Amino acid sequence: MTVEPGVRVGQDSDASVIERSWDEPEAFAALFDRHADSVHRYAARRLGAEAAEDVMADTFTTAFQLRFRYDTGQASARPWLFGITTNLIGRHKRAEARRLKALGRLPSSAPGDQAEEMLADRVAARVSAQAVGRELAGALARLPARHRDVLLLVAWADLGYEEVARALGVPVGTVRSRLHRARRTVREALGGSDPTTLREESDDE
Amino acid sequence: MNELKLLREWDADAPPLTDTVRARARFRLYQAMRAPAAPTTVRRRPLLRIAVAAVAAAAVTATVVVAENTGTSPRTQTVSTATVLRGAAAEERRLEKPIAPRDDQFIYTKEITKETPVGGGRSKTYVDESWSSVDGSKKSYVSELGHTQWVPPDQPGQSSWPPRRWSQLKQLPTEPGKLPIALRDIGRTPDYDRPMKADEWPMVQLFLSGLLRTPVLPKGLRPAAFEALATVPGVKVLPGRTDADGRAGIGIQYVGKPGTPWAEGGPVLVFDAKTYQYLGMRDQRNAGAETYEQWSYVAADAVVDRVMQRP
Repeated sequence: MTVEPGVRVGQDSDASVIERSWDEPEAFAALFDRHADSVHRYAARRLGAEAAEDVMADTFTTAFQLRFRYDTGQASARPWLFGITTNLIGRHKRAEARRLKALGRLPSSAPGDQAEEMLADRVAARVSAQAVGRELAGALARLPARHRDVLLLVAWADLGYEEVARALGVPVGTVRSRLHRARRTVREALGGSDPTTLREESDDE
Repeated sequence: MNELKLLREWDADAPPLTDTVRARARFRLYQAMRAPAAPTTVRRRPLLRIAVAAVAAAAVTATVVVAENTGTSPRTQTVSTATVLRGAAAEERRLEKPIAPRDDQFIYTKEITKETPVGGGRSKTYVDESWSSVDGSKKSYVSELGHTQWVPPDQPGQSSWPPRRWSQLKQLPTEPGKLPIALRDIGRTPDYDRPMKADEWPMVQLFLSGLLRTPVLPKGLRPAAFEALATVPGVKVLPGRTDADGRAGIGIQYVGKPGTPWAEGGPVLVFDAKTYQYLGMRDQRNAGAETYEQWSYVAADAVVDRVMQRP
């Protein structure tokens, strides 16, 4: 399991914030300020801008309503929040399928002002991943939703295996096996070869 | 090949989180919180004037009787929010001068704010002069309650409310019926055919009041905002308000439903009791244990070529 940098502990931890919000509901806003960006980014990568806005907003209102059920033994609320986000994304299956289909058709740089504006901003190192975006989208589209959830919680939400297990409420072993199969599907979609001359890394656990 | 690494690096054309979207989502959280009516103040960011301030509870009625001094004997007259705000819109349309700033210019504003500690003490008056880049491509110089700072240009994908760029303000419709829909759907294509839902009004109100706090707007936008405000459920008339000089005025205030941050009412817009001309705003500010009553208005505005250049 990875512990993300910047994780807060003690009085300042997410758990403390949530516990405080039991008596002072407004305290919960701190959780929004900490995690809105990463939740939005995750949702935007999966669903695009418009649905991401709703999913992000709903994640925090849902979390607020469920705050009394939070296990305050867990200092970081990220797994909990991303679990809620993943559930909400599950309600947008058709939107996600449409988006992946569209991304799968597009050449690596999508037309449109926003895409161009963002492209200008990107670092050169990322170009390699953008170049195979079409293949990645195609592979993600073919994955069963439960495999895609695991893969993207690891890749895009930066959760560790145990955190993914907590987010989805499944055993760690299940996370490992789903991830393994999802990665194989993606690898095969990329032709099993290395289009970007990236070094092979062994991080199968 | 490491497919996980490739996936991590692939941004899937995801747009970044803008201030507008953040504000809208944060607002929805506030609505969900249904907090007890505790005053909630969000620190104002320069030029991001979505102020979530609660004002002391005031006697609130939809329609009030205003005593109008005609010189001989007092006469009573009934006014509604619509009368006041439409009157204000008409007055604004009569008085406003069109401006057409160039992208490389700055909008100069001089705002006066008089603050009085609620617990007693001397009032203090701040004169804030600011220079805001018209197209947002240059550094702006902003003064708020005497604190001055340079505000860097927007980053790509970043936006704020009210919009900093003149071109974005120009895009907003000046038809009072369309403006609330455009604000509801800000950042997307407005769907003018979809009626407003009850729970969307508070957000529209927030965006409208942000717009009305902007000292300089394209011609027609402020009148439209006044008239649009008249259609927002929860907007009330407050009788017997005065400006800082004691001139008789009528207040207009949004009061949210119980459990919202506006349950005790937002800032009060004050209009001349006779002409309905907009005079200024009454608000409250909390700093530490102290609460201040604020009266603020725009004393001057102009289009200039450089920061620090005065008209």
